[in-house]
Amino acid sequence: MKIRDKARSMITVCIPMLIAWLGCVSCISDYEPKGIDMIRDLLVVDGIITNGETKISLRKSIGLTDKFNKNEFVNGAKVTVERQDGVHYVGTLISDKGEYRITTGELDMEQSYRLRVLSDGLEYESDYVMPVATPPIDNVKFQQAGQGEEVHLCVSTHNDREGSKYYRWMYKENWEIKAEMFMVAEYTTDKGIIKYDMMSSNNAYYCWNKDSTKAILLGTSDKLTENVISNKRLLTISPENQRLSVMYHVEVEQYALHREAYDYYFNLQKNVEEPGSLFAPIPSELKGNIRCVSNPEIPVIGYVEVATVARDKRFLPEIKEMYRPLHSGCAQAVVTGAEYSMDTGYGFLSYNPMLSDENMLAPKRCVDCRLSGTKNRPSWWPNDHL
Amino acid sequence: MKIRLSLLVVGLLSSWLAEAQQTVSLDMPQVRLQTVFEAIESQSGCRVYRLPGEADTLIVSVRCQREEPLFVLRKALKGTPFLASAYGKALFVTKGDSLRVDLPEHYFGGWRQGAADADEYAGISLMGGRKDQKATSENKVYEVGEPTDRPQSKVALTGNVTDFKTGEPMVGVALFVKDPVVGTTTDAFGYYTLQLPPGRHELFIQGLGMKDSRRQVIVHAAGKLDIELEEQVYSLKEVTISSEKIANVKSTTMGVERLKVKDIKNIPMAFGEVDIMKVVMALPGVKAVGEASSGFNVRGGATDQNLILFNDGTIYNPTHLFGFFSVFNPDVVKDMELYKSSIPAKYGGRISSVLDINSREGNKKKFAGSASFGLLTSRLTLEGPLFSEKTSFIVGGRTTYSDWILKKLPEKSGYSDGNAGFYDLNGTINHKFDERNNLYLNGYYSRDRFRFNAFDRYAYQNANGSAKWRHIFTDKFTGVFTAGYDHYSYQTQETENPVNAYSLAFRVDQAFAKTDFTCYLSEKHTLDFGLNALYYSLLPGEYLPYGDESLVREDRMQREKALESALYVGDRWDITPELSLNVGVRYSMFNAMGPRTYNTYVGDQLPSLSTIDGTVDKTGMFKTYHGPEFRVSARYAFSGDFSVKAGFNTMRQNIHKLSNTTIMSPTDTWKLSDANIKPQTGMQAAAGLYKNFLNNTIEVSLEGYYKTMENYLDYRNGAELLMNHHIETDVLPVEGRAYGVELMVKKTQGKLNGWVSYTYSRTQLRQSDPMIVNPVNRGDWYSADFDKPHDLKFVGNYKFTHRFSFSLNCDYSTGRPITLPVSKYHYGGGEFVYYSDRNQYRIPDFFRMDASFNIEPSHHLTLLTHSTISFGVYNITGRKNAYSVYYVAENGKLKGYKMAIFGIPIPFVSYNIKF
Repeated sequence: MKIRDKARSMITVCIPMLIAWLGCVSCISDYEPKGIDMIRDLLVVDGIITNGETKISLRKSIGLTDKFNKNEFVNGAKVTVERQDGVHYVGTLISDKGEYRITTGELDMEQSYRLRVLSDGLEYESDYVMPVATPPIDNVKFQQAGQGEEVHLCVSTHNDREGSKYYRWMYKENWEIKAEMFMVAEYTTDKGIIKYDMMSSNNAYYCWNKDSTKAILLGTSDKLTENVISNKRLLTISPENQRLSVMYHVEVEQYALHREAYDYYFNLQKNVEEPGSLFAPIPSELKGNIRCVSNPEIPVIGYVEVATVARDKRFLPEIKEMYRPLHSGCAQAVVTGAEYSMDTGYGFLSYNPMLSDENMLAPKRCVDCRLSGTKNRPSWWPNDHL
Repeated sequence: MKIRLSLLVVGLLSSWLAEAQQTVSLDMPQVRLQTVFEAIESQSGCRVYRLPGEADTLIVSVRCQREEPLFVLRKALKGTPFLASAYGKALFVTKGDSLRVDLPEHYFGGWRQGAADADEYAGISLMGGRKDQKATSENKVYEVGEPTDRPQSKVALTGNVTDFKTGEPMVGVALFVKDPVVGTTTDAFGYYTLQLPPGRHELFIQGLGMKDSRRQVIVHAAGKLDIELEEQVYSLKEVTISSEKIANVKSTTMGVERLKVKDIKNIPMAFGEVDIMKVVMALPGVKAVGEASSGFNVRGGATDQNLILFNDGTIYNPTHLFGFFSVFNPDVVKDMELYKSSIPAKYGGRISSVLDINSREGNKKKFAGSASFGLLTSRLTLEGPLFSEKTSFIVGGRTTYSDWILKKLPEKSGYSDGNAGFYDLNGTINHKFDERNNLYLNGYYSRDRFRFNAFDRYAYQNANGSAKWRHIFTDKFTGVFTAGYDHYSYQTQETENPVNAYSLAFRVDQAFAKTDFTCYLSEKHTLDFGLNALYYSLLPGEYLPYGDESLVREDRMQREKALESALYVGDRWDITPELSLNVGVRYSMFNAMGPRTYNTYVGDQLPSLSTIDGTVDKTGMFKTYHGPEFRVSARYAFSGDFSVKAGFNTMRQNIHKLSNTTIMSPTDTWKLSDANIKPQTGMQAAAGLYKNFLNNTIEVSLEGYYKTMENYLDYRNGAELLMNHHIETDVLPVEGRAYGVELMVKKTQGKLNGWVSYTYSRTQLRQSDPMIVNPVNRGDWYSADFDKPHDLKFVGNYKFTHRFSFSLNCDYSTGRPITLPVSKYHYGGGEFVYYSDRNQYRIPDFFRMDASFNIEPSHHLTLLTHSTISFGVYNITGRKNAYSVYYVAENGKLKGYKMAIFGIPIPFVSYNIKF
């Protein structure tokens, strides 16, 4: 744990708040710097060599003010994991997003591994690294200080005293949402009236959403007497968040890290978390462990760590006590009458083409879950919602 | 004891003939006064003026032999309501009040009624071992020594210069005579020594915030002349920020700024708080990284290279509330001196500058106080004599009430449980045992605390205590003995997650003793020498579990101890009236002391975890650094208002601040030099032109400097600075260079006064050590964080009347350098940035204008209280000056922001009462 950073971020958050209260004095406005000599097309190597399947993503950096597009993905590269004793595992491209899969099987904890990449005629390789053994995850849960307070997704683990004290987590979330009211039909401009039912997935009542890690989540116990990570926060959401509304599933991956990898990732995250504040440290670039062999002058971004993975996936039933739905006002928003029949902003709660004056309708936000989710139900979703 | 009373003759030089007057002999029992008057007139040739009829009929007796006419007259009038006075050959008889024939001693200071002390009216007061005299009047002639003494070629005139109103000593007052040109300035105790040829002199006196004055003296032999000066009462006329009109040209020192707090009170400040540090930052050559920072950079030096002394004690953290206020209570501070270039040999320990702040001495004459009410803070100061006029005290306190601001934060923000506050306390007692011995006791304590929710707590303290004894051995030899203790510490607690709950503490303690001697060898040589010792004891960090559930591992850094001692000698040598030289050398020694365990590293490589060679345990002094520091400056005066100066100095610094933030942060810690960290060294060469125009009312100066620094600490990327037991593996030695030109035009008198300064300066750093594997910017020079080449400042004050004035403050500078990302990419699900060279870009230029309007309701001395009100606007134009520009990731997406701290006009009002 970087105490200094902790203390500093505390201050940096608060000063602007303090000043803001002295009459809304402090202001933060959007800014696009001009005249920057941008650097583009640095190879970005993202992934951890692990047991089972290793996924490596290859991308390119773009100019600071450029927009990301499909050109960032490096699809034509040759990716190989090399074991020190000479065993090679060749990767295959599995998508058009620069993702490569290498089936490494169980890692030999006595051997070191590295990654080799051949792309655009340039050869890149990482340092040989001995695998780190990752301990299992003790638990994953939602935590809340009190009713109505923020909800934190927390992970806990522990490791041997001799084991690594540095950790990184990634997560994948799936959650179900549902509309407040069942829409029996809706009017669309191209297809006219579409009818829905609950017997199949042809409805706008049940939807699903998913998300995954958006930051590099790190933790360490190096300041503690025991190698324990207690309730490390991975995600913080408000109690009104739809994740908590019906059913929530999360899969957390845990990797134990070498100190060097931890430092590299930590620096990356720090550089986009707290620059600019009053006591922010001067940003700096740490070199990763991968370099361009063909031309050592060319910088490469990324740190290729080698570690076994520990996973924990589960549904979190505690959401029921934590969810505080926003007052939707949908009950009051129900309307009756023919004048809404052709309004695409409304969906039918009752639909009789003969008695259009008596049909009840409600705004789409009350009846169409597809506005904030999709109908892509995970195949393994355990309930009978469709 | 022979008292020779002479007739008074004050005011006009031509009437300096009193002794030639005829004497009077009378023996008249029981006669009318009229008869006495006539007898005096006939014998002395004087004329007695009186209101006819009033006194003439009184019956008196008088008997005398060959006495002065005034004396005879006074004798005759004894027991009557009448008083006598004289002016040349005219004698006056008045009823009740005597007629003042000299200009009142305190022309604006009111009339002292009924003062019938004969001495007060005597034209010439004599010293001759009889009685201390206080030269208060410009128009009297003060005589020092007995005229019969054997003639000498030079005699020493010594004395104290004090404030007429409060009895405080006046520091840095220039005293000089023009023929021959001999001059000096008072020392920190208001003491002066002048070597003059015997005879009559006109002594010119100039000082900061005072009326220019002069005294007529006749010096027969070595003696003492205490001078009381009247401070400038009104806020504006001749309010000088750094005065020494001629001293500016005359003194040998360069790059010295003197400020008196009372003179800066009209400078507009954010929230109406008078703040010394902020004014320091308005001086040429001084820069700050941003608006809300009290760390400052002097001529390219880092923020930890400034020695900040408050009554001899070192202040490690000069800011309250994260830099919005300085820790110095403006009601207690008297003045300060900032040495940017010519640093006297008696100072050492930092390589960039010395900011010497002194608190006032309490009013020796009466009990007084002041109170001030601002938007965020209030202050109270009390002062007065203690038991007798020989002892006085001053105590001051200041506190804030910013808690209400946090309380108002919405509950959801998570900060409504927070609070923040600070206070500081000052106390000074000074006692004058006798003419030769003075004792000063100072105490200071400041504390800041803040807490933004129930789990994070933070506090820091400065504490200083010192005792100073000043002894005058002889008129030519004085000594000052000081001892004291300084403390700085901070603590943080973080308790949100009980398993990780910890407390962290850091502290510096130091004890010091100094002896400083000044010896006035001759009119050409003034010698300063002394011995300083400073004992450091640092607790670099203590990281402890907090609460029963905490699993935090106790971690205590080894205490760092060291002794820093120095011997110095400096000579001010006036070779000719035009050419004078200040030569000083300071030999400083630093002994790192055990017990201590530290790593040794492979010889030809930088310390790193992979180059550890071994570990050693040492006790006693295990590492010593020592070396000389040279301080030389010279002045050549082409004329009374034009001079050229040049200076050179070298400095050493043994304590380093560990911080990789751009500005001073409250969690910065300090590190002593040790076996693996070398002292920083610095060198500065400077030269300047000084010219005064329009009867010395406009001072123009142009100074240029070149400066280098060695072994300044920079940090490896990703360095861990707190609780690092082998910090040498995370730091890198850096060399620095700075150069610049400072132009300053200052108007010190008239309705409009203030200054305009323009500075062009560069500060660059380089990681040139060949052992550094990946030096920042490939080992090229790069801009330091505070490298702001163009800097234009204006501080002005226009006085409409004595009571109404308008102040304006403008500040323009190039934006500070900043490291911006040059590329971005996706990694692990989020967007990240790639940084290239350090400090290659700049934030937008800075411009701010502040104005205030000041009202001093009344200066009438009979009023019980005096109040001043000032109101104004900080950042009138509301310009959103960028404090920083940066990129942050929000939900995995990067976004560029510009942050302004004071982005709108901020009105303020403050109210001060003096009683």
